Amino acid sequence: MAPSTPCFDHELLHSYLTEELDESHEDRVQEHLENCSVCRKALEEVAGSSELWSEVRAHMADIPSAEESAPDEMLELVALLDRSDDPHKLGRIGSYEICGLIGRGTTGLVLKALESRLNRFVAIKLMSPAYQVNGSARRRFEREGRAVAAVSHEHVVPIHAVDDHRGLPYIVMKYIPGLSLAQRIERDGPLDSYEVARVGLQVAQGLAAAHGQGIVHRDVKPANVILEDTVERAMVTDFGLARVADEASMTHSGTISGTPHYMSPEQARGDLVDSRSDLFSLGSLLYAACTGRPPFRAENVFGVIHRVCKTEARSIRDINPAIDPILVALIEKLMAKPPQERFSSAETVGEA
Amino acid sequence: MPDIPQTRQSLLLELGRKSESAWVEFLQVYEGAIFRMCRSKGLQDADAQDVTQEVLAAVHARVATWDSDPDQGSFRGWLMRVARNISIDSVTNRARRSAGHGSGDSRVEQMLNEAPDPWQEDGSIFDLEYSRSMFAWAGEAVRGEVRSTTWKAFQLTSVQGLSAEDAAAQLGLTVGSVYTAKCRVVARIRAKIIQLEGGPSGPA
Repeated sequence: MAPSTPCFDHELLHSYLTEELDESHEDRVQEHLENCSVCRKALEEVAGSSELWSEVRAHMADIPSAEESAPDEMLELVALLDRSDDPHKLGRIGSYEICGLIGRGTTGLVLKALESRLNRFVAIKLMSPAYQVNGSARRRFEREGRAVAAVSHEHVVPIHAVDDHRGLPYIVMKYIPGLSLAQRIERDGPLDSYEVARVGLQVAQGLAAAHGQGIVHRDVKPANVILEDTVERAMVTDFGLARVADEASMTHSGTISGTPHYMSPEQARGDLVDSRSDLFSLGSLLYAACTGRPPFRAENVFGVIHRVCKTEARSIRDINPAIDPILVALIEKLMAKPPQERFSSAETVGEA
Repeated sequence: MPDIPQTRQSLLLELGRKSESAWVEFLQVYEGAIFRMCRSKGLQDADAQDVTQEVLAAVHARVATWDSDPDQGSFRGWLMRVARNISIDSVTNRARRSAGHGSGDSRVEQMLNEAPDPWQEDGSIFDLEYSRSMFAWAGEAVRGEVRSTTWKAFQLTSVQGLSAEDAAAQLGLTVGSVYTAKCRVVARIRAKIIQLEGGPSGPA
């Protein structure tokens, strides 16, 4: 290759900058940039003239850096709670003594709590103040919560109660010691074929139980699958809450919350969704378990949505050749853009 | 930056929908630029705020003349040209007056009068402040659109001058992705600026 001619043309580099390439092209360009200084230079020129680069440097030096003082999470949390008589607890919600913060999601906080009446640990999902709801939204939330509570299945996290605390809805669930699939992927990287198949089967069974009661999850993603510590068991959590939460927040801010990485195309477009939307999300979840990353990525929400709707994900075996082709074919079928080309139900996925 | 919500509100109410977003962006960039120019010409904080409001009101008064002339080019481009002229004129006049009777000391006034071409000189002060405001505005907008590691990679390399290799090591990224990040941010900043200065409107 001649040293002064970039290996990619101007137009392609421009599409790369504006994230219009599909995943496999995008990855190829990025890998190429690791070693090709000619193309790095060309990319800089496509992004802006040398005057622009020096103006950026001259004018942006005094803009404060990205690290803003993060508010102290724990203080914020304690302020939300009632006072507890037990000095070893952070505080109290209803009759639950709060022991600690397990996680923080887009819709709220997940807390570990002691239910002293029954002397057991529970997990409490407390909606963030952005979801403070009025009477009718709260009743809907409770209704939805009760419907999910009626689903009893070994691969669905059981719900004990739904209530509200100072106007913030919360759900009391069984406390499952373990990591979420998202944490597991982050810690250990991709899973092997056997594990992916096991998680896939169990999640599909959990979804099938809920679908049987007319409940669509709407937010199937690695963070909503808990892998129990002691037994090899995957459990699905947060059923149906995505919609209730979104409706509450839409009335508040007019925006949709959460990550669209695992959404089905019909859901991303805002169309009506049925249980087959969960199957697409299950496919995306298994894709992430195989490769260590979500199938559709972009700099912002709209970019992700565009890719979910319009582009095919890079082939799994391209990224992780160790994955069994039969498993890959199953995931690809789950991730078919038209719902009718997916499996007809979560049950049939389990059988396959 | 001083806030002038009442001016902003009334100006916005009077403007038609067509130019509304252009005007909002204009205010975001221009308020800071005019204010800092006033300060660099020696005006006190309160005076600088006064002048900033006067200039914005004067620019707004001219907005009504916009539709009548087909040779004016795009609204944004025209707005920027008008605003630049009004800003330089008003700030220079005000600085001169306040130097004259504020201190009773004519030395400052004399200095102002002796400048070879005050308008040209103030033009370059203004342009510098304007550029700073514009890049700050565009940067702020882009920062909200990209992942925080993307922004950090851009800031470490393109602003703070670290090599891509050092930034990659610091952020735990590959060198290629640092290049990608900084170029994407710069391309977005460029698109914002083109849009602000009268390029085709709509998402870049």
